[in-house]
Amino acid sequence: MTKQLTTLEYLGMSSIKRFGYRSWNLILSLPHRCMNLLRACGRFFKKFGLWCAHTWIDIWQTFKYGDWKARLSFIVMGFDNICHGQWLRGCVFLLFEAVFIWFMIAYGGLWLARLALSNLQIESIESPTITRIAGSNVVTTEYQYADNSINYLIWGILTLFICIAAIWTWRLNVRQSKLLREDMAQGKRLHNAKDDGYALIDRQFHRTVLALPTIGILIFTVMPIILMIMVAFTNFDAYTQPPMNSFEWVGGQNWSTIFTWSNGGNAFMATFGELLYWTLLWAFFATFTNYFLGMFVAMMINKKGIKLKKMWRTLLVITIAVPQFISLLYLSHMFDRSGLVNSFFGSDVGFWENKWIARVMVIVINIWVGIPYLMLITTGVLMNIPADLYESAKIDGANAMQMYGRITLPYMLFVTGPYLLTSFTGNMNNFNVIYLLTGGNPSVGLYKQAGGTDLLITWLFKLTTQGDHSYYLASIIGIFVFVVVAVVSLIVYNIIPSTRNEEDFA
Amino acid sequence: MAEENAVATVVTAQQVKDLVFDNSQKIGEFRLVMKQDIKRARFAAEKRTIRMTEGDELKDMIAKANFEEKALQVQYEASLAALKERQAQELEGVTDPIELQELKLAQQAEFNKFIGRDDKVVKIQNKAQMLDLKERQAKETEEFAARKATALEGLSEEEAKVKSDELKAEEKALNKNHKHEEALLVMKQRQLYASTGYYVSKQRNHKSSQKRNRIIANTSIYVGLTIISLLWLLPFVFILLQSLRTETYHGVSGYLLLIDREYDEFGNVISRHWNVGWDNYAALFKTSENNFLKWYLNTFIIAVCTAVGQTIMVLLVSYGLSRLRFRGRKMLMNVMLVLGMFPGFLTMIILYWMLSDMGLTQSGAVGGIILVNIASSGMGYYVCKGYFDTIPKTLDEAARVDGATRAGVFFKVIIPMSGSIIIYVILTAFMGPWADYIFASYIAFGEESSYNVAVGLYTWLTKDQINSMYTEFCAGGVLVAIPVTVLFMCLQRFYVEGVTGGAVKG
Repeated sequence: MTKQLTTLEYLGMSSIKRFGYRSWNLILSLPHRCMNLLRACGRFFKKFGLWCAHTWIDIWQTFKYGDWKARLSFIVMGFDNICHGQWLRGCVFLLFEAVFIWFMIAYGGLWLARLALSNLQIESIESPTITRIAGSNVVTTEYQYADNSINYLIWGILTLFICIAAIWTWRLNVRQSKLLREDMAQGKRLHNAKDDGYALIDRQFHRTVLALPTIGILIFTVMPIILMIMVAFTNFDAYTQPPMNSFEWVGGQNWSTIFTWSNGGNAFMATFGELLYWTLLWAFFATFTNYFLGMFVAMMINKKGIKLKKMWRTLLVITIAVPQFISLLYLSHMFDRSGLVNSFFGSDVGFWENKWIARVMVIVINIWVGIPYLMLITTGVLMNIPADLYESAKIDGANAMQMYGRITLPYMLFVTGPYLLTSFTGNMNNFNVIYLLTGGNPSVGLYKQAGGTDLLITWLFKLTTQGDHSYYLASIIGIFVFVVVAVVSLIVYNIIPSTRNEEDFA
Repeated sequence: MAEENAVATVVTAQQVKDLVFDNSQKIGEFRLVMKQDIKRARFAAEKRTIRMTEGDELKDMIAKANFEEKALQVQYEASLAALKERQAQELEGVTDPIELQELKLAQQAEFNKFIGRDDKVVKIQNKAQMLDLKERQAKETEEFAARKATALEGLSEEEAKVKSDELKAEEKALNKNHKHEEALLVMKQRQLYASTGYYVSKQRNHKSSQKRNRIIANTSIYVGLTIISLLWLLPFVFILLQSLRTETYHGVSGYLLLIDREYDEFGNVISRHWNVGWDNYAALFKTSENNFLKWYLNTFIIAVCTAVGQTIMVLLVSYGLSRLRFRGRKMLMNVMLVLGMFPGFLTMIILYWMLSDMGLTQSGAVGGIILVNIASSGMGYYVCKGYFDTIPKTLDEAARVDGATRAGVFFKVIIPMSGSIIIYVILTAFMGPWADYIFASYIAFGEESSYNVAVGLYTWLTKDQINSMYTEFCAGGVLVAIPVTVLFMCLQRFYVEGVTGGAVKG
């Protein structure tokens, strides 16, 4: 079984055998692939280490071979530039240094120190002081506000980012001396302000273009993610919420309690497992039913001989135009016990009360939501399949099923492979459909209000807006979700042929 | 070679006679058997394998066979001439050009069948040729592999390297050659098969039944499409109808519109009174009772600002990543891909605390939502980047040769050419905030006047309000849906272009 077959022998096997042969080879190749992955990691770290070493040597050499101006600019940033006439660059560096030093003295130092505190508060809370004005029944209660731990966390991390940016800028400043030395040695004219300005719209246009978006992403996406990962190591919830309380670092205690909570069906891991199972099931069905049914509808509309193609497409596309929350909320109430559907059929079925009926209903309504979009995408791809493939297949005597299975489907799967993957991971995080349709119910007594149709992400939402507001639990779940999504994406992305042999596809 | 001699064709005289007096198809086959290569006869349809004897008997048999073949030849040519005469006679009486052409095709098919170019036989022939080719190629590959294994022995290092390079080139050429041969063979076979006219004659024979099949298929597709369109549009019709309800009970009901009937003493209906009216819409505008107009205004402001800001960000990032090459480009794209795998809700918790520091939550929620939407919108660049990738780079180069800077290329070449994708980005950026429930509800939590439309309408459907606000919800939904839908329908072309063009590649 492990021998490599020749082409002839491979062609001679039945298709079941061929599938078995290919899967067996895939499994056998896993150790090899893992080794490749480890080697790639090793290469990455090696490159990183070399880069660090190079930078350090660079800085040291600039210091060693520089004159007094270069060495002074190690402390007064931008000095070297100004001495050589590069006013703009020098002043920018100097300004940055001044602002940075002021910032660290005024605020930053304090925040960094607070970040390192073990319990994120300086003063401990005393019980409220109750004073009684003598001779009357007036009682005033003085509460002492605790220090705002989340602020400490946020501004601490922000200060950390700013420090890293400052170190980076200092490195750039040191590089200036080196560049100046090289340019002077080669006799080239030094860049002045006009050259720099011109470079920003020509050679370095990528910096101009990407500066603002990157800063936005850094502050509003990267920092919150890092902060949430750190919150996973605290005990931030409603009972430790500012401004009345503060939370503290608990380190790995959260993780150990989670993994040892396994008493009965109310346990964290049991709930997590159940929700993960449903999330994966839901993502699979949502993606693939939409895909194949959408393709089917697109093929129906696209068939030769069907008139008014545009009208059919427009009618279906209206569903995309109407904001989703309206249609989903309305549909959810249409299927109520006393809603339209029940009274039309004269029945009394509780659609949202049984766990499995609710799950099936959610998948069916998701088909309603998703088919127009999939139809648009697949129409675009279908129209690109060369028509003579079908003609020659007909000449060879293929019927419709064979043509679909051997021409249309492989082509579609190849072209929309990456889209299917992103759609799958997107459905795993598809909050709107589930929450607006069922709110995560029916309640089945799982841990912390998780319901029968809850995805991991809707459970996250419930955890942070209801009950305990346990943010730390939410961030732990979020980290798990990320790990699952990343692993699935990596594996599938490396298996599907769409990303491997693009040039072989014909 | 010895094996080949053992299996050849020899026929007895009786067998020849049998063959001759069978139908014409067998004549053709016999010709095949005699005329073609001995090896190919193995795959004849009836799999006759005729053993051979050795020596003089063989010579006698072959001589007899040759004689009979000559007789056959004469007879065959006679019947061929007869066939030609008959066909020429048939052609004489026909004047209608279409009928003439059909007749010609049919005659061609008949002729092909007569001379043995039957489709079944040709199929078998083709398979045989293909298997031959594959065997030969497999043999060549094996020989080459054997040669490769022994070629590198006993050589020095350098020689071995040179030799292995040679071998690699040879192997590549060999594989290429094999693929070429295969493709050539397939082409030749297709041509031969198409010329058998079998397909045409089959069509002519089954023309009426094919037409009937097609009519049935098309009708069923029309019926299916009508049903699908109805199903997809029904919920919107229902929403519209239910928003016109004016009776006193404003909750979820099992009927669309209530008709009050008045009966006389015999039980006949005297008059009908439809409970329809614009009451619900009027209720929406009563600012003293609800905040619907404020919500609408909020959402509109958010949508417009987001549309402008997001478009700018997305265009900048797409251009930077699509056209400009700089160190760290791949890393940036990978980082953004990984960041997208985090569940979006995690960042919202931290963003709430950050924004509350800046005063942009609760009453300032509109500003907060706008800021967050614009700042992290750079990550949604895939569709736009895909579109920019399809603009040919020669335009860029021509502009740069004319002296434009990269910024100039962006503003003067790319932007004017990408009108449709810009409209797509604006459209999606505008439509987003109307449907955004999760983020808006989290940021504006508790402060009703800064909800957006989605959150506001959702609060009307909570358990305590639904019995009095359900129809207002429908009316509000209609009011929200109409402008967005109208805008979408007008710009539908651009949306479809964007989705089918760029989304698939991303």
